[in-house]
This record gives sequence, structure tokens and C-alpha cells, in this order.
Amino acid sequence: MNKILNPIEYYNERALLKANLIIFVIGTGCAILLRGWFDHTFHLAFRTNVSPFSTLLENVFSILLIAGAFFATGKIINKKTRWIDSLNLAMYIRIPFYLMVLSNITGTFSSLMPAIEEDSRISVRLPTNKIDYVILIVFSLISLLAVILQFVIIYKGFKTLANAKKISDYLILAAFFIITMIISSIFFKYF
Amino acid sequence: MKAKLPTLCPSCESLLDVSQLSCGQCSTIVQGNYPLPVFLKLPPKEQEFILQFFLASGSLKEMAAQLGISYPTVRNQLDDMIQRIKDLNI
Repeated sequence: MNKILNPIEYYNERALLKANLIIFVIGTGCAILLRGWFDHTFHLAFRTNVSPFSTLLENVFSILLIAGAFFATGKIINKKTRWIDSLNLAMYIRIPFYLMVLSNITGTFSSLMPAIEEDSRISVRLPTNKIDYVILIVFSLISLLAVILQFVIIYKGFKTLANAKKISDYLILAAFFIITMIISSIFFKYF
Repeated sequence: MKAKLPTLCPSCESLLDVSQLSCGQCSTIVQGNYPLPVFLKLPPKEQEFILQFFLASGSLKEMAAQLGISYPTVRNQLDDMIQRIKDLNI
């Protein structure tokens, strides 16, 4: 379990990079096929139509920004931090997104987007039967689990790649993450 | 069972000094007051790490491959050990 939650601690960086590249190709492919859209570094949404090139670009840009955040924070707290470890962690933490993309396999979420985009008022329709409630609760729990999983991987991975020990190290990282979100939101809006 | 060399006082947990050495062949005893060498002040696990580091010619990458862990993990262990030795005020 530890090896899954913190591969940076156990695996050789080149082997991990190869595995991450395979995961990236499969994950991005699934996102394109299932109409996934990465509108900023830590967000996944769905559209009715996605351009394969823009999804690929969004994913690559997000990975590079997150890797940059890990690397910059790591360099501040430990000069021996390496780019390859930062890149590996940035690629690895995308896995929960790739898994969440599978939730749109029936096209339910992407079909909701046009209604939300066209109407400035967002109407919420509550589930009408028990099965809908169960599906909603299960999906919410899975989403929550994915977020927790991502946080645990970030915490453990960053601890290894930068030898982070103090809370202030993680606060610097959080500040860099916010910057990446702002940059990516602006970038994806205009390009 | 190989006896473990105690380095800390069981009473006050201060570092112990060497006060007596004896020859296993002729039973000659030397008494005095000698501080423990730095290497012996470290826990056995860290002594083993330093020995492995030396045997790997100081290559952290080689050590990582031998121990089956990653390079940053070995580097962090080494950095923590360096800090601990610095904290011993040597």
C-alpha cells in the first residue's frame, strides 16, 4: 500500500517516469474519449465536445505547472530537490482524475454542461427515487475518496522529494498551488 | 547473540564514555577516560548505513539500487544523519 501511496520513496526515477508516461497516455486518451476537460490544475469537468488537442494541452500544461510548484517549493526548503522527482509526482497525482473521468462513461455529466452554460441560473433537480439517491451518495463518496487520495499522495510524495518536515513547507507548497490554479485558469481561458 | 554496545547511560540517558578496555588474549586491562568515537555514538542502523555508503564508494544511486529504495529516500536519510551528527556538537 505504501508503494502505491508514495512511489517516489521506493521506485527508481526512470522506471517511474516510464510508468507515468504510459499512465499519462492512457489517462489522456480516456479523458478525450469520455469528454473530460481539465480547466485548471486541480479540476476536472466534462463537455459535450472536446478537442483532443486542447485536452492534451491542458493536461500537459497542468502537469508542468504542478511539477514547477513542487520543484520551486522543494528548492526553497531543500536545494537538492530534483526536477525528475517533481515531474514524476506531478504526473502520478493525476491518476485520481483519470479514474474520475470514467464516471462519465454514460455521458451523464457532459450532457449537463450545456444547460449550465446557457442558463446563468443553475437549477438543482433533486433525485426522485432511492436508486438515484444511492448513485448520488456513492459518486460523492468516490469523489471525496479521490480527493483524499490525491492529498495523501501529495503529502507523502513531497515529504520524500524535498525532505519536507515542517508545516510551513506545506504552506509554501499550498501557496504555489494557488498560483498554478490562477495561471492555468487564465491560460486555458485565452488559449 | 551478538551483544549490543550501550552508548547511553540507562540512568540519565547521557552519552557514555569508555573507562576500561581489556585484552581478550592476556587479560591486560587499560583504564582511563576516553570519549566514544563519533561513529559509535550513532544508532546501529545509522552505523550500518554509513558502512554501506562507504562500501558503495559513496554512490547514493548504487546504494538505492542495493537497498531497493529510491535515490531521494537515501539522500534524505543521509541528510538527516548529517544533521544528527552536527547536532552532537562535534
